[in-house]
Amino acid sequence: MISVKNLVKAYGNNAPVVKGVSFDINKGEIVGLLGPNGAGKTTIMRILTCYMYPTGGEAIIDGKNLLDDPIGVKKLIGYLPENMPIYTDMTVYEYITFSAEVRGVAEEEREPAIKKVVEQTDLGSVISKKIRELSLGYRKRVGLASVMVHDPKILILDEPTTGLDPNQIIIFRKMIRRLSEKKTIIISTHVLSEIEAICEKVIIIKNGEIAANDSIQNLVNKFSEDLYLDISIQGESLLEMEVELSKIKSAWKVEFEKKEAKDIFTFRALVSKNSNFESELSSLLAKKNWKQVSLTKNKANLEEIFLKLTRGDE
Amino acid sequence: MLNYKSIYSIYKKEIKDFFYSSIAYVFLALFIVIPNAIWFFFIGGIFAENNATMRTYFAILPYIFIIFIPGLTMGAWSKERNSGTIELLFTLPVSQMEVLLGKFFAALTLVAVALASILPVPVLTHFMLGSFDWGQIFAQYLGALLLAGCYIAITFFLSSLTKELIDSFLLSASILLVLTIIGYFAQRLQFVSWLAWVKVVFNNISLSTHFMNFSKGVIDSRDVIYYIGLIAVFFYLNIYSLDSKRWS
Repeated sequence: MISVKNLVKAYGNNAPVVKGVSFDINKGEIVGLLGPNGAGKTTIMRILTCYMYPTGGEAIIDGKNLLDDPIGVKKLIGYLPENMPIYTDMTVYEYITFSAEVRGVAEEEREPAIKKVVEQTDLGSVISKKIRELSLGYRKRVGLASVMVHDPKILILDEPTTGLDPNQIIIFRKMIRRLSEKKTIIISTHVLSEIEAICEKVIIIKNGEIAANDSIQNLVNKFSEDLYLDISIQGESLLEMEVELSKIKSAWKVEFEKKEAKDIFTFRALVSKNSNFESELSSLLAKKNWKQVSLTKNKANLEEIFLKLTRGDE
Repeated sequence: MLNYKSIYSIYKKEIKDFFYSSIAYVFLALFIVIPNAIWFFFIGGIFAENNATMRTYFAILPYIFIIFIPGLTMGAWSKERNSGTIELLFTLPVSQMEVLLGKFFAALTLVAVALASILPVPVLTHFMLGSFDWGQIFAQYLGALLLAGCYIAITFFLSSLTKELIDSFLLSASILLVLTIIGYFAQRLQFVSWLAWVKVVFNNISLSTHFMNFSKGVIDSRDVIYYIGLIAVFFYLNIYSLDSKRWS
């Protein structure tokens, strides 16, 4: 359905923000585009939706090259940008009607199409309200309804749940899952739980390049050798512990987790199974006269895999 | 190939936008009051003409438009860019030219409605004082619409270069002032013989010079071609400006 080959994008004369990205997405897949802020996710989405032109490479969407037939490509896509640009002076009905008209929904099919997306996004109660009077959660639903009204084959959603409260996030995820039965969906986010909750496949972007492109299950299996360790240490200075632990090179990342007692602190370290982290840790504890209270080993999940793959990106 | 349904959809949205944001009300109210006040109170209006003609009213329009048109069009692109809705517009299945034409005709419609506000003068004159030269009125209205079209095309292009509304307004008003007033200078100033070519250039590129024939009721094909050509040039520059931002 979507085939991207060596996609490059540079802004002006600056270094490229997307550096030769290639991936394929099959019909009906829900793919999470994952990466730290500034990794290039939004730029990739903006190219796929023809908002920006690529500096190099090509993208074929349902057999159409986006440089040769941008209008044809745009007809296939419903795109919800991250910052939710929307004409807030319109009512919900006017906005969805405008979207239907301009997206080429035939006049006789327009009302049923509007009714269908209003039901899907549960907007019936606010249909006559001005968009500027609505909460962010409702505005996002209006945005989603407006990009679905022409029944596109592909939905591209850039950070769709940013700014929503937990209840709204659950409602939004349910809506997306309902839609996923018939559509190919790309969701960009840096919220890992979102990807785990919705997507089957994940593309991890780091510094404008693909760091991983696989199903979540395959990635977890691939990185099953990785562990995260929860270590509780007794010592006087949290700051000194953080500094010294971060110097251990065999760990990808060591982070302070919580304070257990007055002088007991828990850290989480992400390490390879065969690394010599534990011996390095023992040496450090002995040198600093700190005491290890406990150490538990856990298998890496998507969050740890993401941290490993995007280490040093931010 | 242009899709007229898409142009009409954008056109309707723009017209609604004008009225939602109150720009339309302010524009129409001021356009009805200010040019008519200047015409009646400072120039003497139709009674000072000694003829059933609105020539002086139309003669001041190029100067009135310098403030009014940028006020109407300053947000054409800069507002869309500022609010982020430009991303929405350019990811809709419509071409940039269709969006531009929709916006252009919406702005031109508002100017046409504003110009129609003066129609009661010839109509009332015709019924109460005597016959009016309707051919002249037609030429004047046609010229005013072509002139407004030019101003809109120029200010749309300038709006595409700026992000802030005030920048767009000031830049547009300044450039329109220069393009309008050079015609006045060409008429009023004496040029030494070796600078005679400057006078010719000023006369030919000035937006107001080409309006003179229309304001007298004369349709000269050179003036029509000039205005349509200028609109086409600024449409091209506008599309180029929008496109270059998407490539860079």
